[in-house]
Amino acid sequence: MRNHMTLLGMDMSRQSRRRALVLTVYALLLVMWVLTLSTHGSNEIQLLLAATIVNGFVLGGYGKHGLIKPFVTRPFRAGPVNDERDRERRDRMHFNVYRFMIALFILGYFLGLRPFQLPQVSRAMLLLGIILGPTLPQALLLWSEPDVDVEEIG
Amino acid sequence: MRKDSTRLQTENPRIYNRLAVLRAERGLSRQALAEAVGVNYQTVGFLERGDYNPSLSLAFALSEYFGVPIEAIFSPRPFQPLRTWPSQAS
Repeated sequence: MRNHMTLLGMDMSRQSRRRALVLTVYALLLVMWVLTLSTHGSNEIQLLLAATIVNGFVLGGYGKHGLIKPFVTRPFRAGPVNDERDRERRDRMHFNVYRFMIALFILGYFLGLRPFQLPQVSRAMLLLGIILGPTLPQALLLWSEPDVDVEEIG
Repeated sequence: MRKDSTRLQTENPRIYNRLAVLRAERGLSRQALAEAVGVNYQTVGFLERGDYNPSLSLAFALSEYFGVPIEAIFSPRPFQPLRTWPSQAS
């Protein structure tokens, strides 16, 4: 995570606030997921776009903004660097999400085949994967990191 | 003994440390120590509380920075208070 945890001027150093943020983000993404499922157009790209925007400006992990530092090991545009604890947590969360995503996609794939033949459920799980795949590692990091010790800065 | 060594290898045991004492003795902030050894200041807090075990390279960096052996900073067993050390008790 970044050393200065602020989002739109709000202090996010408290774990409870970060958890509230994660719940809010996924509530909004869940609404989009339901809307996408209930419409029959090919608007899946909107889900991916929403996940990308959430990563870029709220959760972070992939750029200049957001609460999580870029996941890269080397400095990103002279930004903060992940130290060994950051990298260990980053890798652990990505591994956990990787296992979950594999299970989700395999289950979704087979639910679309015989004898199940549930293409709607299969599509729903695939769309869920589009939301969770890019965002869940950052969400888990923000959820699990304890309160930031701010009194020691400086 | 065999059971203990197996546990040490598999369960990521807690490593006790004297980082907070060493840092306080030298009047260092967490930020200063973090910059000196190349980690984030939050990581120093996690190290001091025993919530995170350092890598060998970080342990060596801390040892070098404080000028004491690694085993004087880190131990798999709790450090004894100074007043109960054998040299002082006898």
